[in-house]
Amino acid sequence: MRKKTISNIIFEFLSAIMILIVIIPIYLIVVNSFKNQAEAADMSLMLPTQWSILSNYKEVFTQSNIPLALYNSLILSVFSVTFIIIFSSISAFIIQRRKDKFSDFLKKVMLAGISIPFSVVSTFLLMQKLHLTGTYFGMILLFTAAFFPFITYIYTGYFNELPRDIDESAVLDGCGGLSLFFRIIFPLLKPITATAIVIAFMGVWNDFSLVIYFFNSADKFTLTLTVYNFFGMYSSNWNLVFADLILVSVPVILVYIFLQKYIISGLTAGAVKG
Amino acid sequence: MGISFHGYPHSYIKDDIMKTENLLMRKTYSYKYLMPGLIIFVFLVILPAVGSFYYSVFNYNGLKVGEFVGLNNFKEIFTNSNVNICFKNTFIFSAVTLFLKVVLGLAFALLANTQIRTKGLFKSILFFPVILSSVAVGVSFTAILHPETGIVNIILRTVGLGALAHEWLTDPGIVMYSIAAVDVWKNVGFHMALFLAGLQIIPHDLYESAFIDGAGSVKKFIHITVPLLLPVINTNILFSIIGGMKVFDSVYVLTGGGPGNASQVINTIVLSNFAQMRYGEATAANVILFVMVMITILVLNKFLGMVEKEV
Repeated sequence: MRKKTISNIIFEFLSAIMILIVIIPIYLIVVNSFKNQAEAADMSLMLPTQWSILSNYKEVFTQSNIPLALYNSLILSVFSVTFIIIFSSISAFIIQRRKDKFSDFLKKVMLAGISIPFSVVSTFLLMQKLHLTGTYFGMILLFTAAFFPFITYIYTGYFNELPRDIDESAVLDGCGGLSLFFRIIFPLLKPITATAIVIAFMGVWNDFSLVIYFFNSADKFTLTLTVYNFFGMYSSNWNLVFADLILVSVPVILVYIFLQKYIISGLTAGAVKG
Repeated sequence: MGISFHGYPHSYIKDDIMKTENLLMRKTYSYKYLMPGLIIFVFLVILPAVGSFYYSVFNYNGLKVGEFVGLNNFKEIFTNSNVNICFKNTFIFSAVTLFLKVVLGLAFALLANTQIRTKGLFKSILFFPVILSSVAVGVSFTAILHPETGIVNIILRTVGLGALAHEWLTDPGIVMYSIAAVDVWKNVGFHMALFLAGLQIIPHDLYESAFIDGAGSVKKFIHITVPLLLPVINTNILFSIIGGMKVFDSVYVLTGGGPGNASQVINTIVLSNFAQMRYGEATAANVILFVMVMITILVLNKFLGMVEKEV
């Protein structure tokens, strides 16, 4: 018992250190976003002597074009995530339920698809030919394509846990096709869907490498891109840069708080057992 | 139809099942339902990836395909003096992040699985940076790693370890390790979560019977945890290496490939060629990355599969 307490104390200590290593940088960003320019330049952990929360956040809101960027980010995320969830869940259902050569092949294609680096120039040429560069629709399709294999992969893992009896009895009750999937199967997928939404939403919202190539013009840019541009323009005003990146991160933080409890269980079912 | 029903004793049951099975296959498990997603994916991911092999052997006038130049674009890439450093950096970044993410990810998962009082907080806090954008994290760390005002050097100096203070992002010798450390800070929570998920499915009675047999913590870890966690360890290794080879955001935001070219990686080379409208070279660099990733995946899958079978 004695030994147990000693190791417990060590573990508590290690855990506290790790928590600090993560929290201090975050605290630093937050507290410095409340300071005026001169104080923020010191980047200290002290509380501000002169609080300029409102003025900083107001200035960022007007200077970095946040309303338009927010609109763009919302359009891209909401539609991309919806497409990703619908297409991936039903594809995974079919891939997992069918046990033939083609479905085995598709499983491998999904795994390869997760790792394929995206090809800048040929994607650019293709998007241009289809008149999709710099359009919402083109970006939504790109995001859908980019996340399709990974989200399909974690759904496939989850279907291993979902007995086929459900499908069979539904068919015997005269329910088939798409209505079987969306009325009976899809509601059973809540935990994994929550995980998939978090992953896809964060991926789209936070994306930098696709938007910097394909969605980077005077009126087509996302919130994440404003952080980068704002950083370039205001690199001496750390208070504003920090306020900007906090504003931009709020939506993902909210989504995370609401869906947090599903993540581990979703990953258990999707990525680990699958 | 793929599935056979031999072994059912009564043929009428067999008929019934066959009927249901037929209905399911035709109406519910129909491949036509997966077509929309698959088509978008094939058109916008597979096709460009395969197409880049074709596009890598041409010259470009603006974004128009020009004349056939054979392997010249590859020659350009390989004779460019930055190329060695960019391969080396990609390798350093992948190796360092792989090691730290897997080792620390597992250690943190085990820590979060003990009976410590802070474990709920520990899990939430460590996962938190995962949800932030790498741009936000990168921008923040340019401030945190600043040689004069950055908190890292300030803390080192205050605790008397001033000798360890460095110019983290401007010293060519360590810049790549600094970027790797930031990436680990941001993403280790994801790997912890994967390991935690894996630990949940190890049956608890295995540990109990090992305890009765007198096995200590280390023995239990080596003989129960590691073998049963092997598939999850492999998943973590794959995710980490793939992410490492494709790294772009963190490098681009933290240093832009600098100082000089000291932190260029393959994907920043793609961007810099693209930005200079050298589309042929950009595509060639892309093809090189594609081939490297695919080879790594194939080799790793073979190797990890073998290890899994051994155990």
